[in-house]
Amino acid sequence: MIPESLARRVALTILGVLAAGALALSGCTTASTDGSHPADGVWGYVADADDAQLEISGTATADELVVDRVLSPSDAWLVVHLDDDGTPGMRVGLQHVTEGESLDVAVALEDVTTEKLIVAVHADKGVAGEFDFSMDDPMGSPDRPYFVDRAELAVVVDVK
Amino acid sequence: MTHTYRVDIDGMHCHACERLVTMNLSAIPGVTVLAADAQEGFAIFTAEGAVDAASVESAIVAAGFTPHGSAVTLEEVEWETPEAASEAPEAASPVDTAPDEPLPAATAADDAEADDSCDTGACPTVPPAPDPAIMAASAAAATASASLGIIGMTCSSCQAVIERTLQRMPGVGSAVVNLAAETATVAYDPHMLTVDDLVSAVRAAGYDAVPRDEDAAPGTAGDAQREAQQKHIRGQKRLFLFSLAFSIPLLLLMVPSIMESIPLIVSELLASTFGGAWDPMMVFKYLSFALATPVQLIAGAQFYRGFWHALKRRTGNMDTLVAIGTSAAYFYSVAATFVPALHNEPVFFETSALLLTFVILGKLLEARAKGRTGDAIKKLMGLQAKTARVVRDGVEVDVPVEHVRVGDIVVVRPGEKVPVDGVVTEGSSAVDESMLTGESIPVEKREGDTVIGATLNKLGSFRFRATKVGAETALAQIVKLVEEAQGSKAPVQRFADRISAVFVPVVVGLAVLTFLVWLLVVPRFVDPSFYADVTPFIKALLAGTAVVVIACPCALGLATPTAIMVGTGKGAENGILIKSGEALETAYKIEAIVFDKTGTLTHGKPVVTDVELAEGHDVDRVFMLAAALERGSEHPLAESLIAHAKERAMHLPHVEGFAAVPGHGVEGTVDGMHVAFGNRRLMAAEGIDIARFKDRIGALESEGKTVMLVGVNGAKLAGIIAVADTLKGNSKEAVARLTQMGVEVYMITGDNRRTAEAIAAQAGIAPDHVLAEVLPEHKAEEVAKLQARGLTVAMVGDGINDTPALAQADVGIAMGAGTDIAMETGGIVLIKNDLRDVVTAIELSRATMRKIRQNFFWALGYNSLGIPVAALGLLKPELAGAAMALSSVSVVTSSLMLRRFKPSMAKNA
Repeated sequence: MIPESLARRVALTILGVLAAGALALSGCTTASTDGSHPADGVWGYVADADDAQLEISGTATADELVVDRVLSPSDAWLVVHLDDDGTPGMRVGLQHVTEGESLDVAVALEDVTTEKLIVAVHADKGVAGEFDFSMDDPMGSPDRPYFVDRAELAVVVDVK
Repeated sequence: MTHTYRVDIDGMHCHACERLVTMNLSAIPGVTVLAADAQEGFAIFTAEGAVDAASVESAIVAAGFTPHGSAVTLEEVEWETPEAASEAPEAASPVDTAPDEPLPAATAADDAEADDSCDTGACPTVPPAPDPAIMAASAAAATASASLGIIGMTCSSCQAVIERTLQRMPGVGSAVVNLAAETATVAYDPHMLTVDDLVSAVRAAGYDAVPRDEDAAPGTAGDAQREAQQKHIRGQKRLFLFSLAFSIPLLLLMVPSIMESIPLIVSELLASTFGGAWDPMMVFKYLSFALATPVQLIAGAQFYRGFWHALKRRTGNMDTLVAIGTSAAYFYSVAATFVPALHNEPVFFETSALLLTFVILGKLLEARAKGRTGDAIKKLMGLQAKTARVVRDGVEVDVPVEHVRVGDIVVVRPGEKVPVDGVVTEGSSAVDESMLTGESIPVEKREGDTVIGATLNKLGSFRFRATKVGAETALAQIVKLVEEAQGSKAPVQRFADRISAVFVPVVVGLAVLTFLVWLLVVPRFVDPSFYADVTPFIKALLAGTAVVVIACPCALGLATPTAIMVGTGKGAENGILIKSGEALETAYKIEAIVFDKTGTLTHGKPVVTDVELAEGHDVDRVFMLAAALERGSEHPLAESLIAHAKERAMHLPHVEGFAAVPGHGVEGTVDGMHVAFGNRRLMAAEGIDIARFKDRIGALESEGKTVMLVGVNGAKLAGIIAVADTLKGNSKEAVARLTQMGVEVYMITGDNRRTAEAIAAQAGIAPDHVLAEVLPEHKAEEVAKLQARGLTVAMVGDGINDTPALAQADVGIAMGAGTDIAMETGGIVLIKNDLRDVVTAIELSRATMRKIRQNFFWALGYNSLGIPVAALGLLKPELAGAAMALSSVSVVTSSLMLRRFKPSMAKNA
């Protein structure tokens, strides 16, 4: 049987440690609590593989790309970038798609200068029908891309 | 019979002060106030029969003022009629009121026109007067007193809210709330109000109240209060654990790695369960919202309630500041979570939740520490015996101590506690009275001696007749006295009250100013990179919130009462009963101390000190002759001779032809010899030559001794006997210590200067500090003369014939009260007859005042350092909350350190 005074002392010590820890932690946390740290590189919208899919079987031309199938949990944008050493570069094409499945969606391209293009699906969460995304402030932009299984929902396409 | 008294009062400044004094004095049964004059500093009132000076003093102190010279001096006066007063405009006639017409109506009516504000700003908080007629009637008719236990006060602003609430009730004469003791003492008119009405009013103000039964058994008055407080503490504990359970995950969410992973995992879970797309950033906000909301709405509800009640009374308190501070952080975060336009703004849910958790933790620790400040009372209560063995119908039976009646014969065996007060009728023993008197040596008790309840019988057995039971016992009265003292307000408390009263509005103003400066001014002068992480609005919001939170004056409100509670409790442990916070506060200022000689510096009983014999005589013979004669005498010195003879087991023969010769002595025939016993004049009248003893007589007299001569058969001097009231063993030591402490020590006595100086010399008091040949009725004047020199004077006496002087002194110290602690005179009552306790009382007062000053430093230090730091945006709101909680805890803990006080003299003894 633990004496009551000892139990109280232990409880107080635990409380003290917790309070001190809480103080230390609250003092250590960064001032910004806007969740701006991308977790595992996930900085867009998380979707399940059953709800967000992108399929492109062919190649692109300098003027156009046809997306065979896109499945989106909400209204979305098909965004085509130049391939900048494996990362999305300048945007060269943009096409709005509605929630759900869209087939054979053609995306007009311009200023294609690379041999490969990167096609990503961005949510249309800002003003509907307006692509609200800035490369200068990707985290602050509402129309960020979808991520499935912690990877951006994107496909690399060859340019013919 | 109606008497008219004048009492001089310090500290009144305005009409409102006059009204407060009038209200409080009128609350004393039988008292009608005729005038109260702030300018001249007095009040005049009539009383049916004798009026109790202590009640008058309490009423004045409760009003927030001090009797002139610290102790009440009631001067019976003849009061002029208004007509007479108008004929003599130079006379002090502040209020044109007929003597038989109660003043309050007139005063209150005057006040309706008069300006209540005080130019000096030094007045205590004065409740706004409701209907003057009701006020007047209430004050005059307030004949009942109720004590309530208050639950849920957090700071002196709460105290002020409750005081004001009660004082505004029609039918309430006065209300004094003590934050540390968590009590309210209310004088009210029982025809207009019931105690339940008072309780309801306190509850309507947002606090809880329970009536305290002051007539209950010793120490049980606060049982209901303690129970309610325990319940409150248990509730707070649950709320704290509840808040902690939500705050810790919330805090962990702030750790960068967790902040990234948990919302992502939850987003994935949501996406796989419900489909759709989930933004981890928003999920983080929803999680934070879900964790912070129960804390804000459930744990924080009490602060909103307090805020609302304070708001209704157009005042502010700690609840106001906590509610504003946490709401600012919480509701802004809610907006940032649910208003799409603000989705990119950060949230501060952890700030509000942690702040509430810390504040509740602070309150808990404070309640726990506050509970320990009353340990002395608990210790005293624990001393009482539970049962008593009484003789009923010739049989010894054990009964609960509550069932012992006055007159019962109580049997006490070795090692048992004496259950109640009484007088020994049979047997003898040594009794350990240390628990009440602090005296470690057991006191011998024989038939006829008094025994005190709760003391411990050592080896012998005895029976005693119960003389005081229940609430009348010495222990019960000590507990009551200490409880009253702990509930009283020390004048220094007014400093804290004044600050607290303006603190909340000032702080809210400062917070708004901070917010505006950060929002509108700072951005114009700093580099935009300063706002890389957060917007100017957020910076302004955080700085303003931190100011609101850090500035709470709760610690300030606890600074004085907790120290007074511990100080008075510590005094009681040492046999020093400090009757009010004011007495404790004044004692530290003592610059001069006047000891009554007889019974205070000395034992108060003359004893035989020297016997000188003529040739052919022996001690026993001379004593036998003198004592036999004195047996028939009523002279005070006779007692010492008889006692001495008894000690030597002498047989005293019969005296024939006894005659007392006034101013000379006594004579008669003993064993066939004509014996004269008296002074030199008697010897001269008898024709007895004393030339041989002249030098010796002179020497003894110069030592302050009374010399009596024994003449036999009208021719020969048989011997001389010197009698003196001797110095108590510890008087010299105490005087030396007091002198060392920088206190001027005086002795006052009705004795002739030579005798007085002789005793003074033995005690170590300088001849020029001897106030000799002073009649009892003039002792107060001598004290007043010292006060006129600007000295703070303490008078130490036995509280019987020194009453006026004790009352005149700044602090009256009544000595050797023993069991009769009901004595009203003196701000400090010493149970033991030990002068060292005077030193201890002053040391304790000094230690307590030092502690109060330290407490003020702690309390104000947090506020005054914290506010600028917070205003500069350098303090996070949750850290401000923790600091605020810590300030209260540190103040109470600092007061508790006073429990380590050790009397310097007892240590050396």
